[in-house]
Amino acid sequence: MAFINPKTKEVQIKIVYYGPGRGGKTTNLEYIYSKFNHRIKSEMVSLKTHGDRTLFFDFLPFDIGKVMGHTLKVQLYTVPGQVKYNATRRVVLRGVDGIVFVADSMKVVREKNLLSLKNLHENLKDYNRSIFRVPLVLQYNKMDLAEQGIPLLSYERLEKDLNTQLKVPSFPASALRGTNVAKTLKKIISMTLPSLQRNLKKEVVN
Amino acid sequence: MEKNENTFTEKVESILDELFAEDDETAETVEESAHVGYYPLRFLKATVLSIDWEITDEVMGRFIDQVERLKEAHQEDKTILPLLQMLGSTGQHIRIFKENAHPTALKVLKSLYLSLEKVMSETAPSEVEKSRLLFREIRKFKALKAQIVEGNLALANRVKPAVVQAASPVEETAPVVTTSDDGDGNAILAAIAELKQFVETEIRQLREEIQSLRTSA
Repeated sequence: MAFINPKTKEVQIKIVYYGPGRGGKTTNLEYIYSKFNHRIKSEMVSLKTHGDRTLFFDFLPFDIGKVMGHTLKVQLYTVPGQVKYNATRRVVLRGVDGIVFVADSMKVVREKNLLSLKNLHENLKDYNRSIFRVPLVLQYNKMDLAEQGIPLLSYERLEKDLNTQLKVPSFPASALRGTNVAKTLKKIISMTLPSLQRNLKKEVVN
Repeated sequence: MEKNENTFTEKVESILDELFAEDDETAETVEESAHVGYYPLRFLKATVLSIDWEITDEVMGRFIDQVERLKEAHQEDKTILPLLQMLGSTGQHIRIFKENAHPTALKVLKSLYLSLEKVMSETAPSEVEKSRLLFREIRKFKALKAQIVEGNLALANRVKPAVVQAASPVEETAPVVTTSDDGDGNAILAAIAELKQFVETEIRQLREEIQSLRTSA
């Protein structure tokens, strides 16, 4: 649920990029930061390991303007994708308003996508949240690798694997090139709006 | 009421459209750098991209082979050869240390590759630009080397001589964290435990590295 500060009239929307290790979660944020920084005017914070992997999380906050008398602030987080950092993932998921699941389209990591989605499902359950009710967008990343002759899972296969039950919006993407990165972000923010509006109304009534 | 809801959503969506409109030249730059136009580098590029997902002996071996092959073909070129030599050395460092390689090593490797791609493209830059590019890469490469040495020395001064233990993967040694209690405090403690475990493993591996350097000296 979005955090509303009645004193400062600020609303914070927390979006978490989730998915298997090396899937492109950080690359999504890096692209957003490098391409739109002149408009969002923010700083990205990253904590990485020796091998350039996300250790704790990446964080990119920005304002999107004033609506209904409140300043809307969006906070983008990534989680470390490596299996061993599950406690960190769980902490980052706390109070999440929307999730982008960044799946890796490479055939060789098919199972990692499934395991990571299952892990998201379980971690959300720990907060009494259902993966079927949280605003969620699937992003099938690394589609550009087809040009390099790398065997990829087709969009249909990925849909069947990951989205048969969820039935949420999904985008084929290339975070490295920026293809559908902004679209994914816009979609997930839009999906958080109905609940945000409800909460804002309650706030006004109170 | 429904109209109000629509207005709210529409307003935010229109702000988002403005904020994230992709109509400036940045998109071109990204596309351009990802463009594979020069055939001799096609395989090397695929390998450089592979390094981004998984650093394995197989990938790094393939990378070194391709660099060696290109070195033979460009022995006379005063810009391409040094770039390839630096690519090879950086690749060797990553091959040896894999995920524990210096954090900027991958960035330096990618930057070297992109410069190589520019120099070898059909629309190659002028000689002056080539030299400028080369010097820039040499500076980055030297800085990386200095950082690696500096990091090792700093650690050697900090860490007391200790019996070197065999490194074991974090997954195997990680303490079992109880998460049955869903309280935030426990979750944060578990995250800190992961972090602590990671730092300990990094230090252990660096100790081994120092020890092996001492032995070989």
